Formats: sequence, C-alpha cells, structure tokens
Amino acid sequence: MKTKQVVVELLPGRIDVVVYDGGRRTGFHRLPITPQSDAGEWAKMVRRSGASLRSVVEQMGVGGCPATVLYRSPTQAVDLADFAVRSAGQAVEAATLSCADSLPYSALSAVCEGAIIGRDAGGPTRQMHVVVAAEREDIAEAIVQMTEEAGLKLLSSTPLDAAVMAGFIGAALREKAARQGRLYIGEHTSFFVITNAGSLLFSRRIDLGVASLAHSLTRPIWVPGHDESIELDAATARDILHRHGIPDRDVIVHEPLALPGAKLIPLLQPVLQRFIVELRQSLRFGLNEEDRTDLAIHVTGPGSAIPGLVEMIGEELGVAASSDAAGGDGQASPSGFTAGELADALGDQGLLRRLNLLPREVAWRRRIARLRRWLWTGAAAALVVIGVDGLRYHARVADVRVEAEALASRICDLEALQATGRKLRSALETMNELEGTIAEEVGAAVDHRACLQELTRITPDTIRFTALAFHRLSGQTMGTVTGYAFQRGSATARTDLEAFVQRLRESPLFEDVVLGNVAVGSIGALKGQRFEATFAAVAIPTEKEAKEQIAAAEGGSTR
Amino acid sequence: MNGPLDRQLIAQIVIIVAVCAGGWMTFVEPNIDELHRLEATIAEASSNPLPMGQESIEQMADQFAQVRDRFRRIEVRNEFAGDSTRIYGLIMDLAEEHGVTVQRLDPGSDRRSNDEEASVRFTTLDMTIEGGYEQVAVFLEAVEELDGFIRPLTLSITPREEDGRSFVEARFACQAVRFTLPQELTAMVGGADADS
Repeated sequence: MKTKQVVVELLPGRIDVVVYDGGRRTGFHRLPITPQSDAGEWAKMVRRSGASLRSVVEQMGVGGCPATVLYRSPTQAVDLADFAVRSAGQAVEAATLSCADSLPYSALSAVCEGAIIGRDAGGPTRQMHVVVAAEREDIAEAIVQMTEEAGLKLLSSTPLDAAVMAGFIGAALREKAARQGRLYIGEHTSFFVITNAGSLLFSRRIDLGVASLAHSLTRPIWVPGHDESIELDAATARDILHRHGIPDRDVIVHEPLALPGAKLIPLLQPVLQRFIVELRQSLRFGLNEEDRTDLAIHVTGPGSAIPGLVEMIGEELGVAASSDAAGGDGQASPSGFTAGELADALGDQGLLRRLNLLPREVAWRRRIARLRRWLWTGAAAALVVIGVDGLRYHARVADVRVEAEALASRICDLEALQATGRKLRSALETMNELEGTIAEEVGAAVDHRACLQELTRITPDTIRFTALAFHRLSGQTMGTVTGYAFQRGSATARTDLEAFVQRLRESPLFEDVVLGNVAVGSIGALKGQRFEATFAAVAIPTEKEAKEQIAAAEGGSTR
Repeated sequence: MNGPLDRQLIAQIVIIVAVCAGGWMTFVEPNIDELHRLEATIAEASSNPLPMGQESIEQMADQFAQVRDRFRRIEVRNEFAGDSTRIYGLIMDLAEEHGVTVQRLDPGSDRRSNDEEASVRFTTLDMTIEGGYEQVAVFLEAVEELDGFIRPLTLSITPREEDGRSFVEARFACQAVRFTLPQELTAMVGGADADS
C-alpha cells in the first residue's frame, strides 16, 4: 500500500514536486517552466509539461501515487462570499453562482466549487462564510492531463490562494479574542481579516506578497563606482530579502557588490507603501476610530519571517503588531518562502477536496467511480451480512430442530402411552365382560360336600335316606331327598319327619323346603313314613372362589 | 456522454440487488421460515402438553399387571376343559386320594358346541362312583375345586349295602366350561408375555 503523497505546486515559472511520506517531506524537485500570462499559452505549457513531470516522477519513484495539485493560473478566481443563511448548501450554491457571474469568461466554460469555512459566532446577522474558487474548464483539463501524463493519480486540483485563504480565514474565525486583526503575507497574495469573538468583521485580499517584494529588488540599482546599473537575480533578491528584510540604510546587504541597504529601500518602498495603504484603508473600512486604538494585528504566513516587516507594519498603522516565530517552516528552502505557504495550503485536506476544480467529465467519472465503489462495497457488505445471517439462522434452525425432534419424540412416546392406556381401558372392559360371562356361567355354585354334611348333621337317626339328588333348573340347584322316617318306640308314635323338615328349613344351605309324598311305608320290620322333600340348595362360593372374588373386588376398587 | 455510464451503473445496481435478493431468498429466507415453523410447533406443543404424568404411567402399569394376572388365571382354568385325558387322570387321582371307586367315567362325551368360534364351550363329565358317604362328599368337593371352570349339573346319591358293607353310589354329572378368550386380550397379554 502506497503511503506516499505527492504535492504538485504549479506556479508561474516553476513546477515544484514535493513528496510526503506519512506527513513528513521526503523529496523535492523543481521543474522550471516559462511563465505565461496568456491563458491559452499557459494551458499549452501545462500540457507540454506532462512529459517532463513524468520523468521527474519516475526519478523520484512516486509513479501512481496520489497527487494534490495546488496551482496559480491566469484565469483562476478565488473569492470569499458571506451569506446570512442557515443552510450550508444554499450558501455554497449562492457563492458559486455569484462567482460564476463575476468571471471574465463564460460561466458555461468554467468549473466552480465552494467550501464553507465557518460561521459567525454572534452578531445580529450571523454570516456563513464561503471560499469559492473557479477556473476555466480547459485550464482544469490541462492540469488533469498533465497529472495523468505524469503517471500520478490526481486527488485534487485547487488554486493555492483558495486553499490558503480558506485555511487562514477558517483559523481566524475559530479565534475567540475580541477585535483582532490577522494578516497573512503570502507568496503572491496576502489576506487581511478583522475578527471579533469568532465573527468576521472585515476581510480583504491584497495582491501583494513576498514575491512582489523580491521582484522589486530585481529592478536596476545604480551603485557608485559602477558605470552601469546592476540587477540582482531572483534568487539573490530572495536571499537578501530573507536575511535583511527591510534593511538599515548603512548595512551591507550584498558583500560582493558592497551593496548598502540604502540602495534597496527605494526599491522596496513602492511595494511597501502600496501594502500599507491597502491595510490602512482596510482598517478604516473595517473599524471605527475608537475600535482601532486597541487593535492588535497578528501577522502570519511566509512574509511574517521577513525581518523588520512586521514592525514596520505596526509603526505605519499605529497598532500593536506581532508575528509567528517563523512563517511556515521559517527556513530558507529551495522553494523559497513558498514552502511555508504550501504547508498552510495543505493544512486542511477536507477543504482541498471541497475546492477541487476538476473538469465536469472528470468529476462525473469520479462520481460514477465513487458510486460504483460504494455499490460494490455495499454489495460485498450485503453479501457478507447475508452469509452471516444464513449461517446464524442455519445454526439456530439446527438447534431448534434438535429441540423440536426431542419434543416430537416425547410427544410420540406420550401418544403411544395414551394409545396403550386406551387399549388397556378397552382390555379392562373386555376382561370385565369376560368375567361377567364366567360368573354367569360358573358363578356361585352349590357346595355339595357342605350340603351332604349339613344333611348328615340335621338328619336324626330315625330317618333313612333312600335317595338324594341335585339337579340344576333354570340356573338354580334343586335338591330332592327321599327316604323313610321310622317311628320311635310304639307304632303309634310320631316320626321325626317334621323336626327334620324344620331343621332343613332352618339350615342356611337350603331354602324353599317342601315336604311331599308322605306315605306309610316300611323297610323290613321297620315301619314308618316314606317321604320326599324338595328344596333349593343355596349356592355359595367356594373358598377359592371367595378369595378370587375378594381379589377381583380389590382390583376393581383400585381401577 | 453520461448515458452509457448511467445505464451501466443501473445495470450493475440491478444485478447486485438481484444477487443480494437471490442470496437472501436462497440462504436466509428458508431458514427463517423453517425457524418460525419449528418455533410455532414447539410453542404449540408446549402450550398443549399431553396429560400423562408419572403417576398415571405407574397406575397403568398396575392395571396392566392386574389384567394380565386375571387373564392368566382364566387361561389356566380354561385349559382344563380342553383335555379329557387330563380330566380323566385328575379324577382318577382324586378318587384314589379320597378312597372312592370310580365305576364309570365319561370325561367329555358330550361336547355341546364344537364351534371353535363360540364364546362358551362345554365338556360334560359324567361319572359313577362308590364309596363312603363322607369320602364321596370330600371327593365331590375336590372335583368341584379342580383348577378349571366346573359347573355341577346333577348329583344323585343312593345308599347301598353289599356283603354287609354300607356305601353310597353317587352319579355325578358336571360341565367343564371353556371360554373363548377375546382376541384383544390375547393379543395384549400374549404380546406382553412375549416381551417379558
């Protein structure tokens, strides 16, 4: 995975390639180009630079890395717009429309983007502040073409001034101090704002910067002892400006030429005067006289590192002026003071993405590509969720299925048990019917032995049986006794027949005793009465049957 | 310019939505349906438990044991009527045991029903015995207490004297009853016996 990020700074006269690796600057290369003031020529020059830039990119080994382009073009438009609206979208839309209307070229051939940088913390009408940047579409296409031809992956293409302005004013709005001026002295452009407790009171863009001062030092200088005027080159001018700033008149600022500060001050004076005039007018517009008395101005940006400049501004404006310890990195660098400005411009990557001036087709392609990435990412996530859901439900179904099977098995067992219970109840009924049938057929019966023994017990000696018979009749056992009742003693004495019949009747084993067919009779010499007695023998259960009936009754009671 | 891109994107969206929907319907929805069905089944089964506790199971086991014992007793007593040879042997044994003489014995001359399907079948035992009055009485009791279904029909006792010896001659007729056991009981108890 590539962690390197390339920043291409496209400025008049040069293309700087800066490589960052994890936020640390690891490479730098400058590609000189011919400054062009004509937009068409500038675009051609940019397109032509693609091949040269490619060789630089390959040399630095950053091919295919994401690249942020910060540029300054002849057709760029950067502005700060303020709207008293609540909706950020409305503010951006109004700002872009306003910017497009003010462009010197057709709005149809321009790309325009805006970014909210802050909102006033208080005041009667809280303003929404929008930095808006616009560019001609052919210029934007040229930048995209150059970057792609260089083998870089373009992240954003933003006017440097827009990025710096947005970062600077955004930071000023976050300051909660009362009535404070903030001045950013940039490479080509400076910004001056006055804020009061998080609200922006005034802002002004000044098209002067370090480059203007350095450029003023390259004008011809008449030095005593030289027949001709001398001209400092741009690098020497920058070096002198950086080391001596606003020099004292007697200080030698260039040893080989023995150039005193007094020779440079007239060169710097027009630029400085113009700069001071701009600031003074801004103060007059932005604040009333009372408020100006206790105003403090904080100077930042690459220009704040020019020795004596901040102090001069304070003296000229009559306010307290302070500065950062060093503007940007505060060090002389191959890119001059721009290194600090570049750092300021890269401070907020989100702003760069919002102020990304891409041609419409590229922007559309990117939007579609982004949409497609989201689509596939969403699809992958959805499929993963579906898969996880599927597995989760599958596992749950498996668990519940086991539970249901266990329950079904238990229910099956219970149903089988119920069926068995029904069969058992049916069997019990059948058994009861069978036992009823058995009782009906072979129920209680006459105990013949008991009857015979009872007859023996109750029969007196004077009675002799000649026959004894039992037979079943209509479910009842009927008995017949025939025999003789002999007279006891005299021939006229009565027999014991009556007593015998009475005993028969009293016996619990016999009932319905009927005496019949009594007639005089004799057996041998013995005389008496021949008789016949019938009775119904009482059926009693045998001991075994009684036990069975008791057992059955006990079983029935438990049923 | 943007038309083809739009159509391509829309086509991709449609395909992805279709794939996702298809995947969901294939892998998730059936599981959800089955889960709901199983949960409904479990809920229904849980809310309508079958009224069968441990106590009723033990009660059923006791009832079954009683039915089986009652059936076994009937079966054993039923077998008596089916074997005339055995009847003969048992009666002769009893006669010898109780000191009576069997003058005549017909152990099954009259089968009132030969229909195997009839619910009740009878085998008539007809015998003539001689012996002392008391011996005969005890013998008759022993016959009636044989392990079978015995139904006395007639008994006639006549005193006799021969050679100065007094005895009685008893003619006894009874029926050995055989009940046809219901198939339901035979299957149930027989099956249980086979299991045991």
